[in-house]
Amino acid sequence: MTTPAAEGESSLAGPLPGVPQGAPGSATGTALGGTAAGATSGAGAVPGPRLPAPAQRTADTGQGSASRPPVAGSGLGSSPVRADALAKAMGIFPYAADLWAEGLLWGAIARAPYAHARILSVDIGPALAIPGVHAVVTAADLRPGPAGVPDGAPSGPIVQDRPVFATDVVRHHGEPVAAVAADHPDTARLAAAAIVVTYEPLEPLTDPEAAFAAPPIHPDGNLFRHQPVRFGDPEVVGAVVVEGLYQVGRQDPAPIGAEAGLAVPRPDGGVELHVASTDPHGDRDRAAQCLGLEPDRIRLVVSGVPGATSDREDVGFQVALGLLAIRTGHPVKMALTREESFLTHAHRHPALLRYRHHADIEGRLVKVEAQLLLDGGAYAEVSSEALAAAAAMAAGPYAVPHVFVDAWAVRTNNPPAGRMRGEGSLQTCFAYESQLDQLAAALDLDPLEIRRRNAMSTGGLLPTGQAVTCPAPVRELLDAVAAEPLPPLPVDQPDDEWLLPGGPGGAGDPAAVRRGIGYAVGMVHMLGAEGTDEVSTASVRVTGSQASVMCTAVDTGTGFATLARQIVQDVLGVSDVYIAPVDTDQPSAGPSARGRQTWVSGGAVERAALMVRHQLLQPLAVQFGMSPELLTISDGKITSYDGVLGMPVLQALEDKDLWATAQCRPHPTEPLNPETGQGDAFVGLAFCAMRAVVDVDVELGTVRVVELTVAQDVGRALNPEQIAARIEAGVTQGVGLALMEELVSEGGRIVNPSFTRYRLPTSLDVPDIRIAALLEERDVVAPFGAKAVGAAPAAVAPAAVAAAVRAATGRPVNRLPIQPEDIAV
Amino acid sequence: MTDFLASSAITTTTTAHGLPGFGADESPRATYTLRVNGVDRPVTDAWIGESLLYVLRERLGLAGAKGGCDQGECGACSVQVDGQLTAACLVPAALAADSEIRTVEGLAADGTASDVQRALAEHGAVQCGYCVPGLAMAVHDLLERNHQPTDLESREALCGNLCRCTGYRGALAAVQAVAEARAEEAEEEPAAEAPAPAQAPVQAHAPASVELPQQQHAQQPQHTQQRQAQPQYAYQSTTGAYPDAPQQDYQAADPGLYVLPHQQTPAPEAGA
Repeated sequence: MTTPAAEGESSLAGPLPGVPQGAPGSATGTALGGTAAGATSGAGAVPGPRLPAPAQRTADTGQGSASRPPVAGSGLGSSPVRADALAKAMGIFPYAADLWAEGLLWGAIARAPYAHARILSVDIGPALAIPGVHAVVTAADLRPGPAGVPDGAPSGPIVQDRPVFATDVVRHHGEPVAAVAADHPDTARLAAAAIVVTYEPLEPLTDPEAAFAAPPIHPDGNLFRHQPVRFGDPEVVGAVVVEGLYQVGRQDPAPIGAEAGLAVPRPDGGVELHVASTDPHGDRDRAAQCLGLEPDRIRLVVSGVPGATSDREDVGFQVALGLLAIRTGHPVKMALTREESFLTHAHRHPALLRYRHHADIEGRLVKVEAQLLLDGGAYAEVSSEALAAAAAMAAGPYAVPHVFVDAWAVRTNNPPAGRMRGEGSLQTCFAYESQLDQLAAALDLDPLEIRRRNAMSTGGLLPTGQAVTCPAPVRELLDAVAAEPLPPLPVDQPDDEWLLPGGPGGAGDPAAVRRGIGYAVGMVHMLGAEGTDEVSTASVRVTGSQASVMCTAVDTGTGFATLARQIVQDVLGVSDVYIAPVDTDQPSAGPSARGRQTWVSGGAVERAALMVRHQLLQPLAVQFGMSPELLTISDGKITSYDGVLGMPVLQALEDKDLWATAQCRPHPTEPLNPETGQGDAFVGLAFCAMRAVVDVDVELGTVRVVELTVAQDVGRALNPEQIAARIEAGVTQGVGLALMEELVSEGGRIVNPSFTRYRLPTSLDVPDIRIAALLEERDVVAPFGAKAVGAAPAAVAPAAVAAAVRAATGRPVNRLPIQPEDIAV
Repeated sequence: MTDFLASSAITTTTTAHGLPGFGADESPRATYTLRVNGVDRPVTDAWIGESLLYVLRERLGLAGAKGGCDQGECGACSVQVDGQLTAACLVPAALAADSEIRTVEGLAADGTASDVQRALAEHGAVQCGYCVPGLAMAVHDLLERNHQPTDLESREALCGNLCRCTGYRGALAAVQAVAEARAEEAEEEPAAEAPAPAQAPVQAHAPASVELPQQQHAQQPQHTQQRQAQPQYAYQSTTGAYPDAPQQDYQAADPGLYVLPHQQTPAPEAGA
């Protein structure tokens, strides 16, 4: 956007040399003046947007029609307001930090200030001497190791290498060393600070590239996993070759509610943990292992979850909390400070990606070569899964006949990296989309066109040899975002309504602002890969007029409870549905991660509800004299196929108590071959295309994302409003990584573990998010045909923003987050 | 801090964070009364360094204001002190003794959610919900000062509330919806003041009288009654009106007041 050069005085009002402003064929040019950006190649029909009106934006004002609340309703496909929304708005919904118990003590954790150090001695005497301190625990209080020597009880989701307390070696900044319980939280913190720990600082290993040759910082070595992918002919060379080196910084999940919990000791020597866990059974089993107890002596009750974009609650927090409760015999409450939360929970893997794309002169991809390096941090966590995703999707949602990838995940003394929405897929999406932009520039092709020419479609092959049997409407998604009208330039808006890059009231000069448009398309996998058994169990019970669902799928705010309610409403016609709270006394539904809950837990709820429905309809069918399949339930009535006989559902349910339990699991997958990377490793894939419109102040290097248009294949829109909400969440998180979020470490120590310098997007930073289309091509293997929606937008948004900044400035954007000095012209 | 690049250096640190410890006995204490949501709430023998956020949550049982950063950056702890939107985590509670404090629990009139809270719930601003009490306070504060905020003004007013689960679209939509609704009501009753539950006399919030628009039942189904002794959850409704929240019994020491039982008993004995 440039102000009209009224007096022609400022040369900045005109296009800068070398910056492709509105050049014919460029994305900017097409948007600003040329043919409508919606000139598609007519590839395939694009279904219209599926959301109710309030979720869409009107093009002329750029503001949503915000007055009307969303269409409520019941059953799948409607958008009922979540049941706990009002309680949350009133502040009476209990999160883990809100819990309280009689005789409560407060816990605090003593943490290491070094990224790599040997622990020579730990003296807890000074802490115990402080009045008000009830207990101090260290690794010696956990279950002993195999040799009888305390080893900190290492555990982990895949590899058991992360101790609760460091015993002899500290491997990352902030690693727990001991924990304290006292009668006041500040006493506990002071006592934790009073513990005398003698360290011998060691040279920290912070450069992932150096991890291969460096001495091992853990007995298991520095290499978590190497995953090659060999697909096609290695000797092939393309007519055009484009190379790039890309870097993705360390993003923190930064939920607004940090880790907190309450542990209550049980009379049988066990403990009840009230925490906001996303994997209650897994956490319970790990806690049992670390404490040396039988799993059934530990009960994990899931309290309100204050946001989860990654695995919550590292073992060093939950187990320490449980241990303090057992030792003191009192309930113990602990809430981590924001700094501690930044240091210890799982982050996104920082990545170095080196790519080489080969194409013919028409822009069709011939070969993709890639070397991917993920910095896994101090402990294994789920690095191996993230690596598998990165390696398998290294070429992106494109049809590429030859793909050669080497991917490594290495151990360093940096903070632990783990699962965070879009793990592995986000890093490669940024790299391969940047490569395509570079290729388009080299061939003088429209970036949209080069993506269309190479788009993968259903039935194509992943570089891992797996046939893409789920819907893969990549070209249709690109067409959908391209067809949306562009946001207007703010020239007609009053000056004081302009939201300039860098914020209102900043130093920005409107004349220095350039607008750029970029496209990106990406993919993520859903559910566990490589042979993970993804089972979920749910029970549905109907008594009288009310149904209950018992399923331990944790609703992290993403709406599983609402979905379960919709399913039961649809299947049984009962509108009053109670979702039981989650705890480990019930069978496992698995972790709330990888987009599983819609699939397996929703599937289990549906199956159980169908079983109850059969129990309900069977006697009625006998009474009506027909087979139960000929009865339908809709609008609260059971009717026969010919509409002649019927009965209200509630009447049929009088005095009945019906109950069923069901499981759901997807089809099995297999691990990737360790030498060739071939294997049917994924249950399903989800795709997302985005168009980002950014304003860049080319003098200051500041960026504002004006609008982000999203098209996603959702299989089936089970709750359109909630899908829109998840897309917004993913987009906002992606914008954060693209522009402002990075956890910076110097010598392994995090230097910005606070919201002052780790900047989250605020209401001034977020773009208008327009949903162009939610393509509903049902995935036939998925329950309801629905795909999970949360991860794909998060994985693709940073690439879209980077592409748009590239278009606006003409500078290569090789690094996330984008630094002002990289793009200021 | 030793230069740890000299890898053979051995260092002894007195503490993990460089602070000397001192006994809790010697810490200075204060007794004061806070006027919260129109009700006088006494606080006895509390360490003077406790923040208003801590006192509200842990001593007075008003857990609506949430802690997200303890630095005043995230806005989850927003309350109004003498009408000014403030980060409660940055206010020493003892110094707020002469002020009128309003929390998210005080936004509701007679136990019903305010129009802002209902609008936030209906427009999709609530996902995990942790930031929403702070947002509710910020939106109330904005609409008290500015009856017809523009989009930019709304964004500026809400930029102090961080949300990780949404893109703030629901909150911005709620601002517009409430502003329009209030303007319509003001037109209908030009003589009266623009109705704002914010200005209605506030009382201590009693959960038992809260209504939800879609509730059909008031009782937890019998087959899900819980099993073992549970801790007292002081902050939770007992009516079963919120099916997604744990159903626990709450015993009020005094109906209408949230005095935690443990304030009446001596502190647990300290010992090793």
